[in-house]
Amino acid sequence: MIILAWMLFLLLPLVLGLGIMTIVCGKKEERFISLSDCYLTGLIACIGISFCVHMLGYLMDMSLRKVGWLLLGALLFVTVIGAFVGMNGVRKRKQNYWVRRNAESMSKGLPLAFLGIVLLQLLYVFGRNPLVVSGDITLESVQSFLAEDGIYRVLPLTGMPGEGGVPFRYGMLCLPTLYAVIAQGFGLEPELVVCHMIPVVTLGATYLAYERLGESLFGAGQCKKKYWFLIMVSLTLFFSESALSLDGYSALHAGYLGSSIRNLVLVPFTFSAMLERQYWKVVLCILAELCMVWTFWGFGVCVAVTLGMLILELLERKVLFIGKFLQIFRQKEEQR
Amino acid sequence: MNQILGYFEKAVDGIAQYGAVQHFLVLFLAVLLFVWLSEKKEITEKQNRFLVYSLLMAVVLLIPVTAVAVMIYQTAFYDYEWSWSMVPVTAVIAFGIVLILDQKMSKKKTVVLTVIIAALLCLCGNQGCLQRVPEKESFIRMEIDKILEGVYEVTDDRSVVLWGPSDVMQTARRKDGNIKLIYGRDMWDEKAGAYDYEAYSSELTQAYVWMENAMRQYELALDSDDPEVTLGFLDEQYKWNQETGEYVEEIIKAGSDTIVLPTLIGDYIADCLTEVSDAHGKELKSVYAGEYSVYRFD
Repeated sequence: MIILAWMLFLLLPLVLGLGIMTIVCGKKEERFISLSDCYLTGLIACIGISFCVHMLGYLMDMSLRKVGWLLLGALLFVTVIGAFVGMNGVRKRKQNYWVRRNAESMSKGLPLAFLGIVLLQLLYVFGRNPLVVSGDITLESVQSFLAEDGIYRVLPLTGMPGEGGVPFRYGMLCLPTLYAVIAQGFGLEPELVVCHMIPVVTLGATYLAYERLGESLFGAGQCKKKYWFLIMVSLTLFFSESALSLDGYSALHAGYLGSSIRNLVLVPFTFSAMLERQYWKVVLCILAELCMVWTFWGFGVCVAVTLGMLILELLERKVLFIGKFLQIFRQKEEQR
Repeated sequence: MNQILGYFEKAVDGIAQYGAVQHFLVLFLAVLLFVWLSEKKEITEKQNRFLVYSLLMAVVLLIPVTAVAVMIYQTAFYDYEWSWSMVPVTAVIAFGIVLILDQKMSKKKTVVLTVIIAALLCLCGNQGCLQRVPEKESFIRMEIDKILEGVYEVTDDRSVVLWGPSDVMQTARRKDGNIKLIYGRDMWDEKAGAYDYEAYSSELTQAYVWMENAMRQYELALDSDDPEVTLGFLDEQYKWNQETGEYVEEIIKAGSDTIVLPTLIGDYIADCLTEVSDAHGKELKSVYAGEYSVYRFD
């Protein structure tokens, strides 16, 4: 069953994302649609669907089994539609989804080096003895959902019924329910799903998000720079794991946390989308953060990043004297 | 006003601590300085916007007044260092390194420079030493299956409300959701207490303190030549048997029915546990589970 679970983690978001990208981008026939975009969009869509089903289960106090069946049904339904739309797009428009034309040629050394580092990290994340992250109660929540066959029927840390329960803003977050449904559905140990499998998926999605950011920063076809960028990101993640708030810790030890998925996947994806002016992706990231992280009703890091980048762009274009002043890192080039 | 002052204090402390501990912040600022000072560069509009955002956001977070505004925006739930999620530190460092390596040079120079940069990243970070699970916790994780087997052996139904050393309780709950605890990880991990409205009674808190002290003495005793003699000496010092009865009573009143203790301690205070169970008209069952003993009040 674990192999089936891995296949679903890989294929479901990809197919769903392919359908969404085809619908959003399909009219522009010359547009290249990348695998990273498909996977990340599909992953965010899966989180959104999980949130909707989780809220239904939480508010109506449904059993976890019912929630699991609902989630499976919803995901399969949208994935089948996504597959149909995506395949139709491939067949009708003969678009090149996989390989960008006009990419600069380069040796295989850089991609192999990058894949080598990533593989080591994935093996480490899957095989390590997981740390207990201070302040996190995800695994206890998943265990309590499975034991009580329901969502937040007891306090996660003790398993006892509580008078006040959990705060609604915390109870809204859908990841523990998603993990519990995966563990129950595939008959896997909750610790295996939460502490080993999900962090592997998060790490993979991290590099896809940084690949998008790299492409936005260096331009399409600049493969050499993009791979150097990815290699440096992977090394930085490896060495920056000494504290909980650092990206490296999130990637290697706490990949199942909503805040980790936000910092590693959503934030780079948001930057990439803002640089490319694909605002619909930004909206998806903001909504995904609302579903996964305790924020002030959705006003979190993605909103702050969006506002910051939007303000800068508007100042550059509309307020010319400030716009010139903001070309801080281009000044010397312009002066020459 | 007091709340704002509280935030201000947190921001100032947070900046000082963050700056002292996070050397990647130095690398981040160094990269921005390099890009700004670099003579030969082809920074595009997008790259410029990305870097300007990073710089401005970093400045906002390093000035206490503006940092307070960001912390308020992020809600009181998060500490100062979480505000740095808004700054793409990793991406900026990687971007800057790519610009350095993108300069025209021989393959040999590129390799040497890459090694130097990797060494710099290593020195600024964890120096290659990844965080590991503490030895004691690792040991409990290896023993937990035996402990849980023992727990289920002494009880017929699966309703268990456990009391024991904190690491055993924590690991048992994370391993099996059917194990209920008399108090949870929020007793010793303050941040984990942010997710519910419950507070523990002073009796439970005292019972927790007693248990953790007992475990510390137990570990000291293990290190000595004759643990039994040392435990006897410690009992005279800390009146284990007298106090034990009081805390076990409190725990039973609070709803616990199963206690896990290291076998050496359990054997030592077994008489006390029998007295308490007799006083409550309960039967005391016990079973050995590896290096631990499980006691059930039925």
